[in-house]
Amino acid sequence: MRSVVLLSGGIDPVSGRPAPPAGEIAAIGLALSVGGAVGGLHAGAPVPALRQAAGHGLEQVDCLQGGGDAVAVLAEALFAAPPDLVLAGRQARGGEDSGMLPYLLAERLDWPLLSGVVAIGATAEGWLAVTIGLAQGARRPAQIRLPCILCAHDAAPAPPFVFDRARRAVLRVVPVTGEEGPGMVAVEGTERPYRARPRLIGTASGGGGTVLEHPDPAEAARVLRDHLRALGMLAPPREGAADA
Amino acid sequence: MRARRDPRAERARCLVPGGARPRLARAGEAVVGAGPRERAVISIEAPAFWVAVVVEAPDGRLDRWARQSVGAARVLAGAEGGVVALLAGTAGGDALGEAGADRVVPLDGGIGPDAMPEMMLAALAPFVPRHVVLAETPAGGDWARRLAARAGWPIQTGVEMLSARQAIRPVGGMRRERAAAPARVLTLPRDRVASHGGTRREGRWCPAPERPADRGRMRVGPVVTATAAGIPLAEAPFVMAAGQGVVDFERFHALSRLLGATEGASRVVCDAGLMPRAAQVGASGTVLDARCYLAFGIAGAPQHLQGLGKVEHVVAVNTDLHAAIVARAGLSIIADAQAVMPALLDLLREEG
Ligand SMILES: Cc1cc2nc3c(=O)[nH]c(=O)nc-3n(C[C@H](O)[C@H](O)[C@H](O)COP(=O)(O)OP(=O)(O)OC[C@H]3O[C@@H](n4cnc5c(N)ncnc54)[C@H](O)[C@@H]3O)c2cc1C
Repeated sequence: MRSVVLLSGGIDPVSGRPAPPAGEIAAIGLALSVGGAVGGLHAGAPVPALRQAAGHGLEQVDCLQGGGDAVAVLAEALFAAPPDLVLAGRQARGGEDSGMLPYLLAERLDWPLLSGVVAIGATAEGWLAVTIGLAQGARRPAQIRLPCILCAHDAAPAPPFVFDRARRAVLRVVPVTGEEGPGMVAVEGTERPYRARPRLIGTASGGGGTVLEHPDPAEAARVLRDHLRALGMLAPPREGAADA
Repeated sequence: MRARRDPRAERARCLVPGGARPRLARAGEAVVGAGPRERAVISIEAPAFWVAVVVEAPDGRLDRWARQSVGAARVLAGAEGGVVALLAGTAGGDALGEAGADRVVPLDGGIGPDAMPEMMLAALAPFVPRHVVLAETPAGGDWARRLAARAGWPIQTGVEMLSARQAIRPVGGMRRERAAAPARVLTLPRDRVASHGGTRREGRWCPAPERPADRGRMRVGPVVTATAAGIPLAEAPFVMAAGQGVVDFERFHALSRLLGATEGASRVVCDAGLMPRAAQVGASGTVLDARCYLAFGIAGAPQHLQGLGKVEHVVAVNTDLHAAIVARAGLSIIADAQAVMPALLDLLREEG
């Protein structure tokens, strides 16, 4: 099994220093859990964040330098030497940050894609078993045909950083011919420093709620049960329940 | 300048949403003075253009985020446009009209992510929407990107501010932002755009699209929900917490098991070693993402309330009517936690 992890470079949102996004480190962890050969792939010149990502378990990162559109360049490289498995993070950090690249790549290669992967299981007859992480701790098993693209869940276990591995990692520059593709849609608009805007505050129960003063315990319990049921936190009563 | 009074709106506020009956006032008695009356509904035949929104309702109810995405579609539709909601799930009859949708197209819930873009495109085809809005949930964010990639439509993900003319989203690792005209596909984080507060819309049901052929490239199994005790506190949908007012922890644990709630606690309780440190809710503990927070004997100190920022519904049981948590709660029961917990246990056990 040969896996390729897509690396974007990236910066730390707080310090602005080069750092790989959490999702890409999680993707390296997933690739290592599968076993076999694991390599990094980056569209663009070698940048320091790639070395940091490699410190989490990659020996070599191929940097496709000179190309135009990232999707076209990556698709060509993956088409020329197809791996069994391509892994990516949820979204890059430091560029457009839309999380679209794996999807455009899957479309271009006509490979299946699954996102939010927290664990990878066994392969059988060309199918790979994976576990998808959903909101609030829920999980969903799935199987996907190889070769495929998997986007790692940010919470998938991250392999530890080893400084020596980062220092010794090989960032191999692979020159590619620049070919403009329709891949990423050009972006317009005005760019400026980020301004944090407050989120809306929940209006559902922003104070001024119902108050029940000194009810007897049975009455309080009934009101609580009905309220929780109305909020959908409690399953509806079973047929023929005592006092429905 | 003083705002003019709007007696109609004031009366409407005294009714439960939908206006079917008066809501209970703080003191517990019903607000009177408003009899049943006709509910205003806006229905629209042929709007100038359509804006689509994909709504998830896996358990048959629209949560706040889903309502906000319909609200965002209404913002983009303005006065002339209509909103069509593609419903992935089973929200009943009126809920989507209430939330602001003019049309509802049900989507087959059992379909896998691979076939989702085809199904969305089939559902959207009769409407030729100007924009498609999705919530940036794990599933919604995935569908949005699949749709944009398949159709070749431009997309803006994680839009933090939206008007009919522009959408603003962070770029460059959250250090910069870009303002541009709203794209064809938009995804919306939680609590960025208000849900629709105006008159309810018709929410007319339209036929479901044909189920597209499966491409046989992936098989997705059923969702396995985590047990309440196994969910990390930060992810738990329902948290039940103990403060200084709880002494009967045996009953507290029994009740949390029966309710299927994840356990939390105030700092004082963790300091005393009555609950593990990992259970601490608040500024120096865990910030919750729960839908419901049930607090027994918690005063609601500012440091504690900071942990409840995102919680939709707070329910408090406290002996003190003037505790800060009572002001944050949608329902407060002024009573001894040691009396209410066993009564609730008995009631739930009786039900089976
Ligand atoms: C720097 C700093 C950080 C902090 N961070 C946190 C934090 O992250 N999380 C946190 O929780 N706290 C934090 N605190 C502590 C916080 O200020 C409060 O002291 C704490 O939250 C109070 O906990 P409590 O509500 O359980 O207890 P109390 O303040 O003692 O309140 C107990 C409540 O229970 C009620 N009560 C009493 N008996 C009963 C009964 N029999 N039945 C029902 N109700 C009853 C009382 O009316 C009262 O309202 C922090 C403080 C500081 C200074």
